[in-house]
Amino acid sequence: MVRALLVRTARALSTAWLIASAIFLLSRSLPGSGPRLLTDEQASPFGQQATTEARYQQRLGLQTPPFYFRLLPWRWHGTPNQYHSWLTELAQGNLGTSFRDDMAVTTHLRQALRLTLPLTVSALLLSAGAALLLAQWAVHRPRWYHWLLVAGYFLDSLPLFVVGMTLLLVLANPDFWPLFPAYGLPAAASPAGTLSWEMVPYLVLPVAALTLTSVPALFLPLAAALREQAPQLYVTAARAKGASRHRISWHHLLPNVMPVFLTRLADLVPGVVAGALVVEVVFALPGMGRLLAEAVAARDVPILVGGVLLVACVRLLAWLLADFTSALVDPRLL
Amino acid sequence: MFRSAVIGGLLGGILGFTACSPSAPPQSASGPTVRVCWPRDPESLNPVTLPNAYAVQANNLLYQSLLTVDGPTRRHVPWLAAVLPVVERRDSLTYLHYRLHPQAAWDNGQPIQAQDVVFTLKVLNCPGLPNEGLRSLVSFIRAVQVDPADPRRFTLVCRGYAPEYRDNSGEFPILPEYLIDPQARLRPVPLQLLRQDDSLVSRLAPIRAFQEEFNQASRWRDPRTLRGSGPYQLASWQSGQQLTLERKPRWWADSVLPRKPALAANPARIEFHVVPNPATALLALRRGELDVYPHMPGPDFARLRANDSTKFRFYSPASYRVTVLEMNVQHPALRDVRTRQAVALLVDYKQLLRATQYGQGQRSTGLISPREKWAYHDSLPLRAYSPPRATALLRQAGWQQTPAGWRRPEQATPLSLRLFYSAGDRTFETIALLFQQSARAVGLSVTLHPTESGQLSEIRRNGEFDLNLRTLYGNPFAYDLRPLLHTSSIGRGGANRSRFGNAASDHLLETLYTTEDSVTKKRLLQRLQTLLYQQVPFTPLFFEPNRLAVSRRFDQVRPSGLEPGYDLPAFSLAPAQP
Repeated sequence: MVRALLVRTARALSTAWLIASAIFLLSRSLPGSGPRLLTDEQASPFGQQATTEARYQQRLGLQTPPFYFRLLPWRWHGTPNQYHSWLTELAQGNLGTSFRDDMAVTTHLRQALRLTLPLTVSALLLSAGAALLLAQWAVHRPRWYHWLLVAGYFLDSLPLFVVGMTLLLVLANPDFWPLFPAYGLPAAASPAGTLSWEMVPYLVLPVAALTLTSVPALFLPLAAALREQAPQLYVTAARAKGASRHRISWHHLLPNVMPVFLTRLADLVPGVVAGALVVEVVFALPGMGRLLAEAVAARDVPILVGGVLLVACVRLLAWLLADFTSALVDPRLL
Repeated sequence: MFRSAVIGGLLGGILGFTACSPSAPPQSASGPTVRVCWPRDPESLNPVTLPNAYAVQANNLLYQSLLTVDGPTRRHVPWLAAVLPVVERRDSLTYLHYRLHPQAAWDNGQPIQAQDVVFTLKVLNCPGLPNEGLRSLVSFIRAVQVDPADPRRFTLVCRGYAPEYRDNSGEFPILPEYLIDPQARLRPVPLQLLRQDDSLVSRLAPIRAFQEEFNQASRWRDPRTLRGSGPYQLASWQSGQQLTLERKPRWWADSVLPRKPALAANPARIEFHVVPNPATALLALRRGELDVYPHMPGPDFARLRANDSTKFRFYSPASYRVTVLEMNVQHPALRDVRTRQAVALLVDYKQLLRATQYGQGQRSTGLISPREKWAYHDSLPLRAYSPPRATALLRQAGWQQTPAGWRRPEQATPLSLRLFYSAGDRTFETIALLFQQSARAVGLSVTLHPTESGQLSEIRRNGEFDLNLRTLYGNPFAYDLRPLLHTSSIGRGGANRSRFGNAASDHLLETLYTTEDSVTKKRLLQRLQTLLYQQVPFTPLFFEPNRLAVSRRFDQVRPSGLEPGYDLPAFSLAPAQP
């Protein structure tokens, strides 16, 4: 088992490296993908544009070739290339600095995660809890199961933007119930600072939006799996032995559907660090989603590659954990 | 029992949260707090970087330049300078004689002197700093001559001559040497040396040490370092969330009388709230969590004006941002001027204004705003939407209408134009759809290509488009249109994306640049406008309005068409309504 785990970890790490390398090389090689100082709307003084851009590229270290070689036509560049420099820095745990403000990528990621983690972790835990309870409750109530299924599919079909805006327009609107703040965080709260209880009212609507849209993704497959297991002989046998409905649900059915639940949960885990862009935009929260989206728009490649590397690592880790836990529940799966 | 406790708890929580909801900001005895909505973060407050308009706005509250722009009068006025500079032309050089304000001082009480201007120019010319944009703007300044008799007098020595030098020479922020270079590493390095080859200069030890110090990102978030001669100081900056500036308790211009608008600084505290979603920003404004909402989307502006006019004042002065439909004049199908004229006649300008600007934008015959009456060529008629004339022009250009579309006898495929624009821009999407519809009515095929902005830039630069939608930013001061229209600006050398131009138009642009006499300049500008009107490298669709909503708590908004569109330091509390 340890050997299998080690092999999977090695595979996961090499996949993360491949993903980050692909993003790094694509962002440096494709035409129009690099950062530019002057946009089409901004004109430099006459005759200065090329020099200004060249100085900008020079400062960011983009004047060297992107990789060790060029394929067409073939040319060997050697180690003075952007990929080699990035890899050397990465090996020392340095993800580089942002093209926009020269701040370390790790600082940017850390600040964004300070906001994103409370938001997404609480939404994930609430979703997981709600999905488990609802699925267990509905499995023995066919009529309710039907209506919950309809509600689940309806919620699943709603875009997150619609759910977020609806909550905002109903619960933060001066024309309806202005119960919660409309946006942002309290003035004293800072992504760089510590978390405080003052933040709670500001996070209620974003967490609610994320939870409402995540529950169906967990509830629907879990409820379906539970329904599939319910007529099995081992359940009938347990019932014949006098086991209560509660015991059958939690001790007999649940372990058998756990792999389904864990796999779905593992799919949602990367969102914990990737942030929830839509919710962050709607509620003006400076989290990971907005950091990465703004990095893409500004061609801030170090932030983008750092963020993607982090998300890829978390995704792979989540898969590993899901495999490991599923194997614990059912050793045949290893 | 349990249910009652849960319901009670929920109600209590909700009431508690409601109590936590933000209310009106505290008003200091020294001035009000103004809360402004920004759609994005300034990204950097480094005074030599200024990556976007929001960074520029914040910077103008922290630092001062020699001159500033008075929005409502659309003129440059002295700021750190005592008066406007005196211009002297000698041989091939221009001398701009400046005198700094006699009371101008840094926060440590030391007077602001000519040496600070020299230091600033050294920083702006120093290689390896994120100063590329400003460096190119001051590249015409060759040297600074400090008056030995008066440390506040100096002369900027400029290469060649252009009327714009007077205004441009005063537009960079003056930096305090005592905070930015306390070791005085740049002092022994002459300005002329910094203007030499970057690779040579970067090898010098004092330059390397200065670069290392200057490029520490944390410095430009530290209120102790990020401090200029402006009336405000940084209180806090939470990236992507909020930037707060506080009025300095003692500012050098407090004692200057009579008080001019440029030296006003009434709010005690200015908060910039980053709210990227317009619907959320509108809600926050209506809840009283924001006071100023600039650049409002048209539908929100119209709705708010109709429903909440008792709480807000509304302004919509025409800006200097013009949206154009650009044509690639080197594209084989568009090489004939009659085809371009026909395309321009297929734009339903009035419908576009109604659909995208809610009737508030301003039409124009060219790139010059109709507000600039002296320069605007009002004898040219506004181009009208006219499919019959467009059809006639297409025929004159050799196109024949067939069931498959417009075709030239020698061409196998019918004419089909590709219209590129920035993906996700709702205004551009609407314009593109309406234009496609109008073109289809005369049998002309237009395919729409919403494209990611970086890729779009590359396509425009390489001339790989037929038509393209673009917004151009202008101002009422400079009429140097060479970066936009000169043949040297085609491709990577500038921003001439229509690839328009020939020797005659280049000569006209160069003469216009160097002409000072206003009568001659007006004549040349009219010639240029006529040329562009006839040649149609682009057709201007409209000048966008600066839609602005401000809480009625405030007075002295001083709206203008120039960025940011309002005079924040002039804001004062409005007298209470009876």
